[in-house]
Amino acid sequence: MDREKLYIQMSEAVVKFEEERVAELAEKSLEMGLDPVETILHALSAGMLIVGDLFEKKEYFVPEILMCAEAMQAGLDILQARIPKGSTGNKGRIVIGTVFGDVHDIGKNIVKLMLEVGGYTVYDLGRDVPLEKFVEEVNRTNADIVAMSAMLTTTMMGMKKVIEMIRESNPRVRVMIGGAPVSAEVVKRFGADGYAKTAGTVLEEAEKLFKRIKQDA
Amino acid sequence: MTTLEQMEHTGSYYPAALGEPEPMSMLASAAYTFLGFEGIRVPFDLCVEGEALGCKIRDGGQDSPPSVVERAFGEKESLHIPKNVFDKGRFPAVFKAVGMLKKKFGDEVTIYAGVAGPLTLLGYLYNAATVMRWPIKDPARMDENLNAAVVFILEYVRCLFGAGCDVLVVIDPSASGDLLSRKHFQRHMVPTYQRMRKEIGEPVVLHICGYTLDFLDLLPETGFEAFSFEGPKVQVRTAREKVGEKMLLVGNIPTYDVLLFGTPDQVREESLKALNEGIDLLAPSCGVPVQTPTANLKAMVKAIEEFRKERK
Repeated sequence: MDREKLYIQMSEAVVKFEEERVAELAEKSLEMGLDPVETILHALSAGMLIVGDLFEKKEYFVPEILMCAEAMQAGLDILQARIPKGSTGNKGRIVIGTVFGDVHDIGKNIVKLMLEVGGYTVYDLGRDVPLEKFVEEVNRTNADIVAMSAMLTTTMMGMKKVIEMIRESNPRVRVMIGGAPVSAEVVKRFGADGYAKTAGTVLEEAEKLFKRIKQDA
Repeated sequence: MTTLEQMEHTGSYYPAALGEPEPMSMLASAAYTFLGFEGIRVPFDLCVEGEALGCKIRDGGQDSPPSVVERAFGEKESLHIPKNVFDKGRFPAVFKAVGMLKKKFGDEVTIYAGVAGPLTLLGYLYNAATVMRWPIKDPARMDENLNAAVVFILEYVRCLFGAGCDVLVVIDPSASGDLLSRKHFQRHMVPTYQRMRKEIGEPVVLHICGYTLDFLDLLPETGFEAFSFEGPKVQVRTAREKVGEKMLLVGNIPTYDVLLFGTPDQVREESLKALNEGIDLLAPSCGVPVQTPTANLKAMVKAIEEFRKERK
């Protein structure tokens, strides 16, 4: 099998959420001596782009995306183990988490994976994260971006509090928020810097924020 | 619709109001006595059922309702209902509060009780990420567990009506169109709701927030009297077109963009628009954040009065 064919098969396996097949092909790519970084980009990332399209077209729903993400994760685990430390994730550092009171982390986990595959180093605080923890983690990791998620209209206000704390303590840090109840108006009122309506636009939004960070610097 | 200002007004705060009958009924009654709405609803969160069935929950302090932090069942376990479950957790407090409200306000306003819908309940018991896979990977398990959830919910509902509740609100956000395709909604949820309908003689409002456009036209098949939905994701006009005249429409004032951030004037405008487009029961789209200003909630009530005067 040649390289191109493997990339295509692997991205198709991601789209069809065939976890074992993705893992198998990831192993195969290593046997073939392919660069794992390239495989992540041309097979896994490419697969998730197709998944994003299917979601936009309403052919796929959150459950399918979740399963595709898991299939991708299976490949990612194998490939990342072969990448020398420091050679990926150097696009920037992002702290991510679902805010206090909110245990809905499906969307957050998908976003995290998209960012990892996109070349960022992601520090995942998990779900139901006490608000001050976001600031502590930014200080610990010297991150550039904080990404927060909330699924409930009753917990969403927590994000506003974190944004206020971040502005106070780390004004250079940019904040992006997401979650089903988040609207453009909420982003404006909370004073966030960025917002991804779906996981499909997360990378685009992160790139934009990093550009602004560079300009500011 | 509980807010900090209503807590101050009644002197009944979270978390006491979430689990003790007196403060629960006091805080709930503020919707009528303080804001002027024609309905009172308890309880305030969706974890009551999960808690009694074995989920570990964590109290959210004064600003937010509790949340489920540990699931009741592992992926492979079947849904087990403990003996005397309705004596457990906060169930007795909820029944007592319903009874107190019925006695005190039952002649004046509608007493609503909110229960977690079957899919949402399964999400709490098993983890939403697990449940969500069933329609695709194991449709039989989906049906089996939905059935088990319905058996439990029906038993709970009987207790609620026994305690004095007038109208039931089945809150099932996990069945939203972001998570379920039309195909799966039709295959699994419509028959599930129909089964509930058959057993519940009293009026039922089905609430599904988020994106529901894909299956609005299927909702009358459930047999429920009313559908409550979220604006601006679903507009009143569209809902009416697709749902038809068989169901009352409830909603759909946006919680953040209008009720929290907006001015009373904006609330009035949005409310009149919804009423003129045919909303039958004006209500917030979804759970309102506790910081929501009283003036904005009262503006909804004023808009209803204004609308009725014009109609006369």
